Amino acid sequence: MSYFEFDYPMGVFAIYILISFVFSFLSLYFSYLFYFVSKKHGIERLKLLFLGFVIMGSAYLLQTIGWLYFAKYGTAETPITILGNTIPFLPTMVAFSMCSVFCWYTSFYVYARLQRNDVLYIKDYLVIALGIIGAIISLLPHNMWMRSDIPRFQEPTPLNPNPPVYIESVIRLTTGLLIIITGFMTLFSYFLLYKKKLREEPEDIVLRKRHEYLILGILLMTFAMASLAIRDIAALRGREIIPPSIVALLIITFFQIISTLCLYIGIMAPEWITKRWVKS
Amino acid sequence: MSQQVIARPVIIRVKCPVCGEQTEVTVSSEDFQNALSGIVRIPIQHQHPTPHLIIIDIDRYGFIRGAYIYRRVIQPTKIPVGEAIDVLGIEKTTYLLYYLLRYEKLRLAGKREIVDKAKLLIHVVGETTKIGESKNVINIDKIKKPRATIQPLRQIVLQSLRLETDDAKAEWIKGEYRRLKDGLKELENVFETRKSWTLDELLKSLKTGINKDELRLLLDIIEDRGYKVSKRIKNAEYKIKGLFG
Repeated sequence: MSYFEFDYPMGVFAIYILISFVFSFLSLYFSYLFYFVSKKHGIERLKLLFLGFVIMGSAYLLQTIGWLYFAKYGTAETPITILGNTIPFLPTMVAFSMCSVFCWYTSFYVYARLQRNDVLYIKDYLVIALGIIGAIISLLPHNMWMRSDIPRFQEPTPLNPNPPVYIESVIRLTTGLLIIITGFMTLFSYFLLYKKKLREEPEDIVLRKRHEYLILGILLMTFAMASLAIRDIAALRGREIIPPSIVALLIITFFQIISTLCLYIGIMAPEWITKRWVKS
Repeated sequence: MSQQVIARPVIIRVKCPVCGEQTEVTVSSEDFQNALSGIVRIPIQHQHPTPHLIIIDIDRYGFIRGAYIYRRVIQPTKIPVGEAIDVLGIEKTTYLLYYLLRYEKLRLAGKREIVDKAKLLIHVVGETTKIGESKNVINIDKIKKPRATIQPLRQIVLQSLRLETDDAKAEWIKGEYRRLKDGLKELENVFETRKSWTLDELLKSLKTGINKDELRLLLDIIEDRGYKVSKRIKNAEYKIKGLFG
């Protein structure tokens, strides 16, 4: 199997596409809501969440279109010309969506910190810097999935088809680790905010549950995205034990379904579920 | 025929139902910046036979949605309302109106000259009894922007600038402020029940003539007063506000 050739069962691919579309439209809908509330009710901080969701929603939408493009032409490297620049569409959009996850986490982190403390401290700026570095690294060509012309630290030869260190593996691993770090810092800052809200309104079961679902959604998002980037751990040792297709895709799809559902329940709190919480 | 949203200033001619005088009103896209629901209320002052005030409601496309008499007779005032707004500025005046609606009692602080102008405005809206010793201190110099839908209040202040005399400005600001205050009182009574509504349902159930943005402002005020508004309003924006606001 060549580096960029995939062997998807059609059903899994269709589910992945569907979930990605749902996720991207939901993110764009949330971004609209955050912008609307921020503008109407004068809550400037919510513009941060608007930015996070709008970037992530757009990136995922473009990436999903990229997957359809891939399905049509059978190769991820079919180029597309945008404003005079020819780019491999899907790989570039995969990198862009990874970048958007960093933006999303950073926006959530800053929001949670500001909501809790009203000011940002040096450690907060460090986390923001980490998010920015992650966003920049994720745009490197090495993070562009299924591109065959990625510059490699050591090229494979017939005698040594799996050289011990691929530079793209190092970069992907770094990206993955940064996603995990940024993700958990965001999770932690949101958890502190949740604790504060619990102290303020300990009796409010609906608010508590909504925060819990939101925290779970953020956590699962970390799992989904990290599995995209750190699947190359094995490649550092000279071979890929996780093929860059079905397993990663299944893991991502699985986590993304649950993450999307949790974020939806946390943010929108549909009436059927809030009634159940209140009853229980 | 396609309808075009007002992008450049347009002149709208309106005939007064009281005196029959035809007035030209210039409406620009800036007028709609604070009229989020898309309809702007414009006061027009006429001097003959007696000073009177009419209102026209104009939508984004420049159509007149309504024209009606606001005050048949404008009461004269000696308060220099225009000067007070000039000294305070649009934003501070807007915030001051918000805090007047929000608190039952408040104390003003800041430079004496500015505080005096603020007191004049408070006198105009008939809330002098609210000023006194209170833990709610409003420092006019550093007055904080409220986290609320303040656009309807800003719109009142901005539209007052169209009026030429202090009498008309006072009449307009007082009238609009009282309308919102009545709405606030009614809303508080409605919230004593255990119901929950969508914004549209709640708007329909109110007798006071307010629009959706004004309802949002009043809901923000009563939420600030301790009512659990976000739990009682079913719209998605209040779910977001309840969790993240």
